[in-house]
Amino acid sequence: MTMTKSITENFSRLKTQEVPHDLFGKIMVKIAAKQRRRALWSFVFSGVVFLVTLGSVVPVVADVHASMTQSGTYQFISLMFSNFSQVASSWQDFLFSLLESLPIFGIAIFLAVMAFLLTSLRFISRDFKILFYRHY
Amino acid sequence: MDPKPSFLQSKTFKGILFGLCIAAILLFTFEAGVYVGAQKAKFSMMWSKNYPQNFFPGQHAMPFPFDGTEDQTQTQEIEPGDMNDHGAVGEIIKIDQTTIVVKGDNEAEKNVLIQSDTLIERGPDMIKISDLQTGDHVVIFGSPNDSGQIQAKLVRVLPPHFLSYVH
Repeated sequence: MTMTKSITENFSRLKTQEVPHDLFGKIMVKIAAKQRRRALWSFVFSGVVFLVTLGSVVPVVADVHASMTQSGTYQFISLMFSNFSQVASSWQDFLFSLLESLPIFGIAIFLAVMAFLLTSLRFISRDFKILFYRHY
Repeated sequence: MDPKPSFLQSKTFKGILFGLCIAAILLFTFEAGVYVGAQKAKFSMMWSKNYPQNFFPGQHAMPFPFDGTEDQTQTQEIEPGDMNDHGAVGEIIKIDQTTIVVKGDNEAEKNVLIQSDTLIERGPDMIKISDLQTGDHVVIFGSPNDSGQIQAKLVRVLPPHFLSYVH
């Protein structure tokens, strides 16, 4: 009780601080500057990832195509169009033959490259707006 | 005042559900991979075990490689994981009464059993095993048996222009 009273008395003696008239603006400018710095680093990093993944799309696709050619995947797929009734009647054997001919590792690499490419593109788009369109 | 959301509605619970779904999908995928791998390994084992009688019936010696060259120092490296036990794509290198031997790119030759219900087609025409020729490129699917052979359900002779398009 005594402590509360003394705290109240001390605070009542303090002079009222006047808030600078442009404090809000200064705070917003600082926040925007920090966002722009962060966006710049993110933009550069995402740009590098985008360029690297874009450059690797063609060799990865070529590798998958070569693997599918070698394993006979295209030939198995062609059976679905030329002999659909036989494929449907023995669909389990056909499915196994098709799945076992797929270059699973190559396809997984391709999907990972596409995921990185699209994610970096998304970040580039977001950071581009912050860097070049947002003004305070 | 809004009532406090229950645990079942919370983000933690949603996260737990999401984690459980991901774990289930991963485990099912892993199990499917193990199953397919086991089937391929079993076929590879049966293929190796029955190699003499499948490719050299009646012979005691087992010459390598199959294509008839005299170089006995060549060994055929067979990757068990590469053997598709439910299908074959490649060139016919031998034809018997009921079996054909197909060799694909980078794959060991496979003994394919032609049965009474096996459909053999060249273009739109149905043909017999006697109409097949060595050198024909074929695509086959079927089921493996315990003798390391593929019991063919369908044998389709590929046209030459298909091969040039794919390559």
